[in-house]
Amino acid sequence: MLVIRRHPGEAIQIGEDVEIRVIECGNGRVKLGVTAPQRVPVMRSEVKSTREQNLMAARALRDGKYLRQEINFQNLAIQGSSGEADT
Amino acid sequence: MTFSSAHFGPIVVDEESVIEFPEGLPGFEERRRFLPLQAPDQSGLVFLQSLECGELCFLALPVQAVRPDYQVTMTPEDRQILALPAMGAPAIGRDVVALAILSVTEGQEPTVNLRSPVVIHIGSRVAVQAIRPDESYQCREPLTVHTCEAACS
Repeated sequence: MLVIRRHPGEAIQIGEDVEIRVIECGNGRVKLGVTAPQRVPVMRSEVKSTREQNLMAARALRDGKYLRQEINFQNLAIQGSSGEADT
Repeated sequence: MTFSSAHFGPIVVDEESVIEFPEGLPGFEERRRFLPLQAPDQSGLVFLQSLECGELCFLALPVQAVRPDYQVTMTPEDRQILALPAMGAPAIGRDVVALAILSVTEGQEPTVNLRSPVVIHIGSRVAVQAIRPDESYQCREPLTVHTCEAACS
């Protein structure tokens, strides 16, 4: 992995048209600004893995292999009472 | 309203049961309205059926069925979407319902996404797929289900 030290306000360039600028840092966090063409998807890494996982999960059900069609599904009631009440 | 699901056929949609993702889910940003359906067989499995795409349906389990000690941790941005207070963990069952999406691929062990649970505000039914800011859990955790007897005894 290439490691580059940068100060706030400075940037790095990736290829012809992607620029990543350090906007501010402090409190253990870094704020970055990314300039990239629309065709380059930019997202946080954890969003990428969640996205891949969602696509895979949706595919499993779309193939219909895991559904038992004969079951009658009823609307799931999401109720506060299902958890521990503090009374 | 009736909706035609590719998996369940025509389903009657009770507006009160619809959950809304203002930002969609990663990979499905345009899908906002889902109906949670539950199998009446006590398995605890929840189907999240999209009301905008009949073919889109996720299979999920309540996080506490997978890890009885699971605590929801959300970024400030996600808390804002659900209008939750900035501090303190939202209480599962009282403030929110948290569902972990299952991934079942033939020939592989099923996994469950505990890194990014679907968190539904019980009062407003607004939902977000809340990617944890920490790394206590992964997107592909092996599935081991704790039965209610074991969890409650």
